[in-house]
Amino acid sequence: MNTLRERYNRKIFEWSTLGKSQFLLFLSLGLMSFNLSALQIMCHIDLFNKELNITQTQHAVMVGVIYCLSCLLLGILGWGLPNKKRSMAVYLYSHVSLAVYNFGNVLLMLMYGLLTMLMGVSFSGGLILGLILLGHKKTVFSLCFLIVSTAASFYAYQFGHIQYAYVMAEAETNNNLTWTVLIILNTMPHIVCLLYFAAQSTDAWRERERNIVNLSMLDPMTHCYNRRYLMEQAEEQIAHCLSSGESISVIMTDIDYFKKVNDSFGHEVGDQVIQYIARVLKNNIRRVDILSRYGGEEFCILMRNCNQDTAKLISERCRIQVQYTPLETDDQSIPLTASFGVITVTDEEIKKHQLSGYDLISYADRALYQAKKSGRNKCINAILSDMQPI
Amino acid sequence: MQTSHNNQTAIKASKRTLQRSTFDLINWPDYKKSQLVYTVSGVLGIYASFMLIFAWLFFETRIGNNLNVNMWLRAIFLSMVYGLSSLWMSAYGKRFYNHEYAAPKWYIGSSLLMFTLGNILALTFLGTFAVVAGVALSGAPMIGMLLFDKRAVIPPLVIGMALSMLWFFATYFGVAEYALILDNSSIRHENTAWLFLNLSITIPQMVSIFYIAWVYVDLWKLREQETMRLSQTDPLTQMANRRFFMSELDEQFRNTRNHPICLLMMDLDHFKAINDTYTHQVGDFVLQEAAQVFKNHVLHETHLLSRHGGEEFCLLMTQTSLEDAYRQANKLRLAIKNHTFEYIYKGENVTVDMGVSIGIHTWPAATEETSTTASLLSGADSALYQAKRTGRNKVCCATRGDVTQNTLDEPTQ
Repeated sequence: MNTLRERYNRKIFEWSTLGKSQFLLFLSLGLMSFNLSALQIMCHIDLFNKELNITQTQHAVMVGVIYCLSCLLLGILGWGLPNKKRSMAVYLYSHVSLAVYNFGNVLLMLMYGLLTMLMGVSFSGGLILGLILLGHKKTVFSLCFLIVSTAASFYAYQFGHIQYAYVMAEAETNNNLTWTVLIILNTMPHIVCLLYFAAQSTDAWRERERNIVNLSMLDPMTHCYNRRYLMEQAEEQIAHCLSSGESISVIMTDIDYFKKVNDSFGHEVGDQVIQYIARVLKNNIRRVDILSRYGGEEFCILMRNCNQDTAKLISERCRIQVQYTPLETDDQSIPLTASFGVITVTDEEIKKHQLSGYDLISYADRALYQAKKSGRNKCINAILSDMQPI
Repeated sequence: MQTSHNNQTAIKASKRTLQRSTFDLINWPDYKKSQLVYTVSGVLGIYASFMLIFAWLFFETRIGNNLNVNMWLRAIFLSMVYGLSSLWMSAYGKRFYNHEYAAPKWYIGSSLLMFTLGNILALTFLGTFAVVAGVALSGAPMIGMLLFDKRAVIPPLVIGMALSMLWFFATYFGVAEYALILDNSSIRHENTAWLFLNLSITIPQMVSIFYIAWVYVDLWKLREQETMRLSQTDPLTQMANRRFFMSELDEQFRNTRNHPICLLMMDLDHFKAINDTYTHQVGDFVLQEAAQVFKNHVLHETHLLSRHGGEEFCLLMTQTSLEDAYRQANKLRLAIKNHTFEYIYKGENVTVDMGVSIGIHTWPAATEETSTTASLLSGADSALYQAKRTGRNKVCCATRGDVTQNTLDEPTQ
């Protein structure tokens, strides 16, 4: 029972092929039994039964009941099958259920006329939902099945084997109330189901994709952006800077003597330190700035529309915050400091030196190197004209 | 520089695999997708008017009074106007090219509406419950859900429903004929012109809808795989990242209760010094080279190599005994030791000598206390720490909860 609940408590989009096939079977069971009961009721109402051919209706109902029963049996059979991905039984089962679903549509078309809304719904809506849920191979199979069976019934009626709209007394005339009601009753639930499940699936898909994209942008340990995203953003910001004339700042940070921390307390504490520094930095930058983990214990902050004074202020604030709030672990407090290298460039400088995103980061890296060399726990604001070109 | 370009080309290459397919529908901005919808409905409208002319020429003389000639001419004219205006709307979208993010909502919203209106126009001529009605009410909204969003579908769906209901009542109470192009007295399904028109108008519609959905869904799946891959790899070294490694470790732990798992933790010796004496560029280069060396020496498919962070790499080996793991670790250590890391730094050829320290932990260990992934990791970590403390460039194994150095004899080189 638990596995059953697990199988069905998620959105249909995430079900296994087996679950989806069962869903199709029960959907066709529901639609057909709805149709049959409507038809049976209308046979007993005076307003409608004049326009129905009662004997042929009873034949149709019999066929419909057999169809419903086979849907039910096949649906129940599904629970006996192994729920595996690459199993032959599931492969066959899914194709059979597709054929059954489409055969139900063809049966309805035979009952009420081929060239009606029923055809439109099964040939466009049904197939698109198939594409979303089952992929194109199975959908092409069901398309072929639909085309063949529709063509067969078309010829059957063309050569007089079967009446055009089988259950109707007088094949479709204008202002035929019974026919109209039956068509509406048969298409509307189908359309509603198709639209509902399509909306649910596309929503689930969009959300899942958003999650994956987020994952591919973030660093798994610190949950700040990763280097890939930083490089992409750096190029984008440079393009933005050239068009808007704002200046960009890049801050490069490195935790001082991190190796010592790592060696004396172990990697686990080292990880904690990195996470802690990431948190501190995140709390002290502006919301538009992009904080990313550049390497082991290095962080890079990309700041758009940020002049030299602002960059100086922010880097100094981060440095002081790091220095005066030691990391408290379970049994000790670890004092930490960090060094900061800052570079600010204007759009003219970018144009003049043809700077790329990577160049900006390497300049900031050099400033960081100076900060390290001149005694750590420092912020060094580099000026582009003083530095050697890369 | 070099590292950056490698990285950038990797990202670009992955994007290119996505764009290789026929037309890159999924990455189009919304205005361009709307242009597509306008174009499709415009072409279908013009096509429908040609089909009407064709059917008129062929079937009118044969069936004679079954057709309503006035309405037939009007239908030709209207579908031509509809098709041309749709095409004009599609061309109108060109002006959003330069500011695609600011394409107005009405333009995007009305594209689906235009498609539905074309269907409504067709159903007034062919009959309220003709095949087009089914396409208008199920296929068109579903294409809208795929291309845009489920909210974009509401206006065309509601307006389409309302108009077709309106038209149904108009025909039912005798305000208008059921199928305008037919004569009142004819039986529809025996009228060859009607059959022909019904099929020739709706089949291309269904085919175009189906094709768009097909391409879109396939591209979507491809893009999802690609982003999934990106989220699992480390950008610098292109091997598995920490997140994927941890989930895989959990998975292995849950599934292979009876098989031994070995975990190797590898740390490059004195890597910090390279970063400090040269720059991070050289550091990145060394990391990439080392990753390549590791990749070349891990041949088994089921072994998972990952960059755990910084200069730390992990190797997960399933169904491997401790002896095999130890041999593998030594192979890796020697490979790094014998590899020459050459780099041009400030015009000079720099050769860096690297060593690697490796800690091994295995599960199930002699004692059953290592029952979580965390303890497996920390065991390997402490073995690594032991290797570092006792002189680096060596392999250590952790067993029985504590670390014993070199439980196995070091094999001869």
